[in-house]
Amino acid sequence: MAIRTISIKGTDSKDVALQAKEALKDFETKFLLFFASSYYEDSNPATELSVAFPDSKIIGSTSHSEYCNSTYTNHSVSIMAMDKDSIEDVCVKVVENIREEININESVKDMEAYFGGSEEIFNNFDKYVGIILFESGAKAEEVFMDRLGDATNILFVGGSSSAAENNISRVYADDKVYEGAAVLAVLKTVKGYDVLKTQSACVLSDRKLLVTKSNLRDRILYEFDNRPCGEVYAEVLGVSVDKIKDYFVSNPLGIVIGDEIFVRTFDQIKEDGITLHCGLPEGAEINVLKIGDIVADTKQALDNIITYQPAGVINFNCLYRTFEMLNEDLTQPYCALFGRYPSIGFSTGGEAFLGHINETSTVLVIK
Amino acid sequence: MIQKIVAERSRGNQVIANSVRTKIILKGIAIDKYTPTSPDDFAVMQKLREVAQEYGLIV
Repeated sequence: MAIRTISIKGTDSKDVALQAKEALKDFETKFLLFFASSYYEDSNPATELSVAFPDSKIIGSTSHSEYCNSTYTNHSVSIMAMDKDSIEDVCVKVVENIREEININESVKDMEAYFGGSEEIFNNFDKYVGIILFESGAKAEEVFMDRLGDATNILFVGGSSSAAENNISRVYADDKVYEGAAVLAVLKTVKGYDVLKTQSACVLSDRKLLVTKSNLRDRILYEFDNRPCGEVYAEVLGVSVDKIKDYFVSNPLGIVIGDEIFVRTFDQIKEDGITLHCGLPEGAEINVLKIGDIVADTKQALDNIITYQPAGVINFNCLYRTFEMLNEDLTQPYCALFGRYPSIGFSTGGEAFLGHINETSTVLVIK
Repeated sequence: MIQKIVAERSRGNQVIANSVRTKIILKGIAIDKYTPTSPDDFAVMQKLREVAQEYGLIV
């Protein structure tokens, strides 16, 4: 067996690590990925897991809520363990202070060199994939993903940390804990990988809106087509400007590229602009979207790509979607879709796939 | 210029070519609305030169 998945509830991180060690005692874990409720943060799950799995590379994130196979839980830790049958090797790097000017070229070069250089990776592109975990408090994912995309062809998939009631957000690498950082892991898979993204949203209006004034770093949108963005958004929806807040959840924005939609969700109206959960650069063309059927769309996306028995599936599912599923009592049918595979996931504060995105299930499939 | 950047960065790998196009569009350069016969847009061309520079390409 190349990948195992477990869900654990413990009294503290040490208890979780001991339970994980017992559950994986006959498994040679090469790489361990975990999503731990921030409930465990005061006892540092990374340190305890590193003690329990001294020969494994470990990365993780805090989470609001966790997924494992067919279950949705909270106050738990979801763990995926991979052995040599699923990954040949893994390289982990941490980039700190990502809110400041980001220079990740050296880190990327180091990771590529670890595997023999960029030519080796280019020639075996279907084997190499990256996982990226952002500490969401930094709010720098858009710029980081842009720089990362400039620096390498390796496809990175991942998400931003979230938090339970205590509102503590962290990411982890090996035995260390980080704030304001990004944790990157490049995997050399044995049988390859697939990536899929489903946003359960479709285009409401074909009208393209050009972003003419925005603040990407602070995620503030000011103008579409040289007019106040709220006014144009209201026009597309056919509602009055004072009502637009009522449509923020059901009608997010998206950059539409072929069949793919890169969603940006609204936060709140702020002075003369609207804040988003993911910034938009000036020059981008967007459409107004409408939210669809999360379960049906996710099933279709999974079934279109996963036509084989995968070794493991990692689901970065937007926290907004989790809230919506909880409101609509859809977590059971949603989780049943992922129960078909060894899978883990968590409710993210944003997802990563070529850029930073919102309101998706972004899924890495290890073959 | 768009085709040259995509072609040189992806070197014939279609998956990488699609990724490169997407990454450029996410930067706020709507390259999908241009064709080889589109009139030159100097502001967009300048942005593309900067992208090419980041990619280590000469266009």
